[in-house]
Amino acid sequence: MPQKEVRVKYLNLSTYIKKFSLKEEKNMKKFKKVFYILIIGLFLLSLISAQQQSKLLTILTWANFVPESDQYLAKLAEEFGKKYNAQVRIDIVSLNDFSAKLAAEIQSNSGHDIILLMNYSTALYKNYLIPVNDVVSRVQIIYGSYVSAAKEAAMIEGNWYSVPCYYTPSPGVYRKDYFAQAGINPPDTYDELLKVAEKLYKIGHPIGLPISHCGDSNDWLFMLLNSFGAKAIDSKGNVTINSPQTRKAMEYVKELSKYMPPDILAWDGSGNNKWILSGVGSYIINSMSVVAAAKSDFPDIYKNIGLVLPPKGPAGRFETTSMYSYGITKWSKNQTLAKQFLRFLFEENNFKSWVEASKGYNMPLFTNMTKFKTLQCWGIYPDVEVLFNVGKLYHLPLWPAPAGGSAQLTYDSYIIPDMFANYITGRMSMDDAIKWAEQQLTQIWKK
Amino acid sequence: MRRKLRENLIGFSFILPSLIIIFSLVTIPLIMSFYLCFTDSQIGKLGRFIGISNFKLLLENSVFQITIYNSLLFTFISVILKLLIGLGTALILYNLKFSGKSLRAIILLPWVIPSVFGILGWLWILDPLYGSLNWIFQYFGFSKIPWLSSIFWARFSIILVNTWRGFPFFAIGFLGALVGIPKEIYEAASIDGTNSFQKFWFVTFPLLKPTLLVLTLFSIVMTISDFSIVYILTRGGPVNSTHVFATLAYQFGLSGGQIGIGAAISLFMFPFLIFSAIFILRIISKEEIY
Repeated sequence: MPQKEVRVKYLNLSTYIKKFSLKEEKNMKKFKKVFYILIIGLFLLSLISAQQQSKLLTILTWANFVPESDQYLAKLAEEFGKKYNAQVRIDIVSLNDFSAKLAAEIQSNSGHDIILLMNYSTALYKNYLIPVNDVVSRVQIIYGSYVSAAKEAAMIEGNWYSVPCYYTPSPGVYRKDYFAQAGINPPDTYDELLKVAEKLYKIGHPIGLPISHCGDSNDWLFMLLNSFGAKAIDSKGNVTINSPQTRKAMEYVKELSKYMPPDILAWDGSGNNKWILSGVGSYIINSMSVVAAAKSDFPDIYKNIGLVLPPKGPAGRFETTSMYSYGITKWSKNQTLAKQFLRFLFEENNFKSWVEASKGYNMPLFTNMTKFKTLQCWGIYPDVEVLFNVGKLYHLPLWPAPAGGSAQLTYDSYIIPDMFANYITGRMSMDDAIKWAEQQLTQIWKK
Repeated sequence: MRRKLRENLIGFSFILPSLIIIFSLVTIPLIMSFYLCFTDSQIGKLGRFIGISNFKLLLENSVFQITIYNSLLFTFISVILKLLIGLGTALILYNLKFSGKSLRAIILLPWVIPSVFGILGWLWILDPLYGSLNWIFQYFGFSKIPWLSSIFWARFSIILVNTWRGFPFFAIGFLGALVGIPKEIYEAASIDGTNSFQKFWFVTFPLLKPTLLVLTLFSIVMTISDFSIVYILTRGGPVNSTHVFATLAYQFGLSGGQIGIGAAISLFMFPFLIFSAIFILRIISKEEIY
């Protein structure tokens, strides 16, 4: 009985297939008609979509730590769209994922019309960007010249390949009440920082400067090296880390690390912010996001926060932090529209409102900050003149090394933080730690 | 004959989308990686053929030497721990007197939740300032443990999170195999006067061996190629003591733009994986079928 049933079912399947067989003439004609209509429809759709694409300006940017900055940028994009009869789409990617996203676009030679470029990315991806000398000239007519760091990042072989937008100053951020409790003033030099670190440690409120795999760690250690006259790489791309100045810097950090929590070896980018906002920490070197966070969420800490210039060393005072520029891609079909957008962004009202919306986090990169001093956002920052003066000290992390892929890889490999960490933890002697760093740098820069 | 051909074509058309996905997302990138690892390519810049220079450069690099050590250490210890804990969990679940469906679901959670969420949770637990583990230790009068800032404890933390995430995979696999063992064999063993341990060693374990070997092979592949745990918890620190192939390849290839070196790093685990697969599959093929 079961076999018969199976056979019947098999016959039905066969009939089922036969019924819809393409060999049947009637179905074949129907199929051909539908097929041709589909093909024509798809072709028309692609034409329409291509037409739409050419009026769509796409921008790739990072998720700003101050969300209001992104919100304002979206508002500006809408206004621009209405004014120039175009659509503007802004795609926001978190900082951790940004380099991978950017690399994917460059590798595939396709993607957004305008891309955000941080630090050395302009030099790294110059071959995929168009010169924007005309836009930069216009910007400098309105606001005056850029600080030198802007040229280090965005001007390659005499041409501007991106328009520097802002940087995030990293002054010293300190707790006035803890300093008063210890009977000390905020430090102006690294020697003073060592003395205050010891006193603050004794009262249970240590300073915190990361020596780990994070950008903040790179920034303050490169700042320190420059302040001691040490250079990881010179202006010609030679490895110069092995020097008496580096040794002095390493001795200094070893001494300083005695008065810092051991966790600094594991801090990520938010570690120093958390250190101050926890109420335990007394001094960090970091961007103003910590002040903005304290104002909104930790009012008791906020009222005791002060700002001071980064410390000065034997070779001077330096500032190192992140810079953000916008570049226009070579593959963009809307290069003229993209330039118009950047000019629109830098119109005085628009750019100042953007800085205002970011609560001052997006610090402009001009030598003359007069046009920005009247903005209301500075009201939340104590010692705001410090912020305006930090820009004059600002250099890219590996300055004076040539900008490019080697500089980017050096920064992303955390060679300098690891060199210090190897020494202060006792894993390596000073000579071995420096030799190790020299070997790592040589492998990167020898090409 | 024509009917058979038509049926084969229909069957092939059903698996065609999967084949396209595998080809485009696995095969082509693999071939590209093989090509790139022998060149000095950078992101956006196709390089020239340089032979095995990338591999020579990596083998001379102390950070890469530590990476090889870390990858093998994490894989070896994590897989053994996952196996033992997974087996123990499966035996407990199997011998439960009550229906343990809710318990099975809870045990599966580390495996099924998106890994980033789980690892972020561990980052908060192990945080040096706000972490709950250290808070508990300090509450009972013990000193804080530097979970992520000491080389030993950072490696411990990576292995801990890896084991936590991966043991349900073993547990569920073993549980399925245990359910498939005929109860009559245990009854016969009881009649022969065996105790619990002897039942496990002479009955359960031999019958679980094929499953164990397959699960181990999968776990080795997944553990050695893991990226998210190290990237989120330590980013390879402190002092490169937790870097694994995937994170170092990301650092060189995507962040640093040296895609040729990045490809060389990621392909370094290939011979190890091939060797593990051949070794384990040979053992499986030699296993007696009961």
